[in-house]
Amino acid sequence: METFFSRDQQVVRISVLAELRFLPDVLQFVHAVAVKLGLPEEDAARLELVAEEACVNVIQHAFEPGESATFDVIVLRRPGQVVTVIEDRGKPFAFRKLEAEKKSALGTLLMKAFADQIQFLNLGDGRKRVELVKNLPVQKVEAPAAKTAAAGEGFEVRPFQPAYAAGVAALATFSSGPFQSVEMILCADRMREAVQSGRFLSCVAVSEGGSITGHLGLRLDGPSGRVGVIAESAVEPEPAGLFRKMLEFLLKQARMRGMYGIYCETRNREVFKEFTSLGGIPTGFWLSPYGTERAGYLKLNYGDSQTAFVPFHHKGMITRIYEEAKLNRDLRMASSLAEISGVAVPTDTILNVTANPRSRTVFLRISEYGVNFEDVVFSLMQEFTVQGVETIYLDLPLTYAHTQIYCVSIEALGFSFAGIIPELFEGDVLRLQYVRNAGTSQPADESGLSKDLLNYVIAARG
Amino acid sequence: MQINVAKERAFTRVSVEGRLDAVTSKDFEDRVVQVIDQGEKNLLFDFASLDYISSAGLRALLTAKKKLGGSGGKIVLAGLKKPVHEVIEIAGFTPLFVIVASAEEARNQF
Repeated sequence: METFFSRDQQVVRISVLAELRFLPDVLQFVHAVAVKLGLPEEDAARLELVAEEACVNVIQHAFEPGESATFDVIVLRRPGQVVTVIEDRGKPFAFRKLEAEKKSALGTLLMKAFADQIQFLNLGDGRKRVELVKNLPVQKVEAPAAKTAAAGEGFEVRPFQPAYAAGVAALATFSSGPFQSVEMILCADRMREAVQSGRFLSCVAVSEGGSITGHLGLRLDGPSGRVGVIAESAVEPEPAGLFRKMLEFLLKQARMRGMYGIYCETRNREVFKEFTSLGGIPTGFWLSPYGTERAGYLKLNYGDSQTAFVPFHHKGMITRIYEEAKLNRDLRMASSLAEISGVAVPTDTILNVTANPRSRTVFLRISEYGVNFEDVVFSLMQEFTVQGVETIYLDLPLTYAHTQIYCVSIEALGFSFAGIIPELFEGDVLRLQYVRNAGTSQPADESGLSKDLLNYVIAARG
Repeated sequence: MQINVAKERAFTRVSVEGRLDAVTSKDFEDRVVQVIDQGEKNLLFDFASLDYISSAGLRALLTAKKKLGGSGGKIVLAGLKKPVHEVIEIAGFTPLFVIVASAEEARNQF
């Protein structure tokens, strides 16, 4: 399978002794490479600072005192981004220890402030990895000639081509119509690279006069990605029907590619309405202080047959979602922990942590359960709440019996049912959410499954 | 990193050139503690030639601040370059220290 990382271009990999004295030279080298890759000087300095904090954590916490060890510092070029990666084979992340030591708090604060994105990964073979991401600058875009499609003027939906990138960036910058998740298409270079890497499928609406009046994209895991995520949507307010036409176009393309389905999450009611009118089924509601996001799935083709270990107490709602989304699942019940105890459980839980410092949101995705699963989740929860995180989303693979068993104990920590995400991460996942302040207004005008699911999510949070 | 310590009439000026990072901050902290232990209460940190500061450097500043404690002394930071100022601001240190544009301006603070 194409992995997210396989599209990265590794520029530098340095193995360095885990001793502080070597750090400044390595970091200044990282800084220089980041500038060569296009980061402005001041952002390269920020990346250097963030990398120092991460490296110091590794040197001071990953190894036993006096242990002779090395770790790797890697610089990657990812579409639109420069990424510094710190990899080591030391002890797993000691979040509790870090939290207990006040001197780590300043470093963590700076990392969150200066990185555009941070990911922590336990890679499972004794390695762990921290990714520190800086976005390349957005290319300045000239305002389009004062020519927008007049009401009633026709338009044509076409596959995206690199030549449209600047026009799309201009649309995302200057359009007064509804848009969402336009971070990438604001930068023409980044978008070109994403399309060429096969991780982005998109289309544009072009008016009869040649203006770009709409853009809609699907994010994919890679060229062979089986599920697309609706993203990077920008449309002019007129003419009506632009969004729907583009969505229909992409659904056709995705169906022809044999993709299993399309996943959508949005706070925009109109966008979700169009999605459901074309067959999308609501699968969850993600609560947050910034408004509730609707999540849904639209099945296109039959995917691989799957076993799902649905938690007993959520079986009714999840079964209903599966039925309405026409997803055939072999629902299994793990009678007890004994059923999973026969399987060798690794020591470490493998998980992917993605933090969005701006929205104070953290996404935890469990790839494999280890014996320390509950401890890891509890430690992370404590760590992130101390750091001011407002919302934590925890994605648990439904293909594992552990999800059925552990769901109750994780909910006892304060997480609650949010919904499911079908097929997205090599199988369905159950999403739980920990929301400190969910906000007071909730979506209205829901009906059928959508209404029942929203009520269920709100009741689950208590 | 270069550190120069110069006693002036009403304060001691500590000029730092280069980087205050995980490696160099300990030297800086030791020098500053030494100055305070010798009885100095007023410190001017001249950072006009300081290019880089990380959390290790920030902790050294905090140590100096704590060491002065309730002695009635004062620490003034002068000549911060933009990246250094940004780090100090984001760490929430601006209320803790007097920050001025230049060492000349800092003289009026003592």
